[in-house]
Amino acid sequence: MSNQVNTIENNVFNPGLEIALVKIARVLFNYIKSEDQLQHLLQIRPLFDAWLEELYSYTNRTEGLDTDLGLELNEWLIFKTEFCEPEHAQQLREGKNNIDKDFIDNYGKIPENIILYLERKLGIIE
Amino acid sequence: MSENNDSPQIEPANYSFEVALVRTARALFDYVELENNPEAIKKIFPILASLEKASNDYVNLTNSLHPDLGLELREWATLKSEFLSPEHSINKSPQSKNIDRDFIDHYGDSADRIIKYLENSLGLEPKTTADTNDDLHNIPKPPSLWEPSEAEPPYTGVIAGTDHVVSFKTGGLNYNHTLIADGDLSNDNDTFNGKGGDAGHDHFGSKY
Repeated sequence: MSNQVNTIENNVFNPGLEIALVKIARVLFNYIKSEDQLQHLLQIRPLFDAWLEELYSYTNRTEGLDTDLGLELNEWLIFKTEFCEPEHAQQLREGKNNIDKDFIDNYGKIPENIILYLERKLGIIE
Repeated sequence: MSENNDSPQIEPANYSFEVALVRTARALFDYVELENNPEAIKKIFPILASLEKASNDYVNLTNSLHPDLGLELREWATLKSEFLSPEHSINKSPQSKNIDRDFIDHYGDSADRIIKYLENSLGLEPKTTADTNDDLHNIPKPPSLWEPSEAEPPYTGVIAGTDHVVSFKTGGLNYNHTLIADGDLSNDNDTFNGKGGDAGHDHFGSKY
């Protein structure tokens, strides 16, 4: 009986948790967008992974939120770190310490659009 | 003279990272404060633990930020869930969905005060819901006066509430802070000042 209650409780939507997860997504996204240093990006990877795990767990429990959010952000972070890897060192040596503009254009807008969608949906922004 | 290679290499402070950590802390704190269900609170423990580790790692690398931030948050969430466990008041008064008031006063103020201190020191605006939401969309530029914290930072902040003596542990050193308030919660001009060299480990009754 108690297990059944727990299962039901675990499956209900939790707007507070959704809002917290989306706000953290915004924080992480803004940080990733602003940061040019690979070693700095890697510093938030554990925090990012913990957030991602709870996002997937919540989505699986409730079928709430947008399942693509974590995937997009994760992919975006991986692409961004790849752009900082040795094969792109020439760009860095040439003084281009910023991530490639094409990358920003192609990949940066996708997670931002999803976050914006969720922020509006949850009433975080109008 | 040979260089001392035993000294840990201190990395330069990273303002954007500090902002990200503090904003994450604020989001988690707001959630813990809002949430009355211990099972729901426990869901974010892995994120809290990761925040704690990221904060501590960063502090160890830079001597910046406040090393107790992650500790405070995790302790706060843990204690909050304990207050909701069967032996505590919510079970005695099932009609009440509120956390025990003493708990809020003693532990909630502590975590909130540290986050506010960090928000102030990083130049982030004091938070209302609207401020927070606007702020989330702006990546701040470092304030002109922002510099990495020194070994013994001037802990000056704004508090409201009753008087407290709080011990902070910073960069391996312990600090005692006398938090002076006049009891008027609407008065946000109270200040607290820290002084170094204390060996106290009492942390609102707990030890670390």
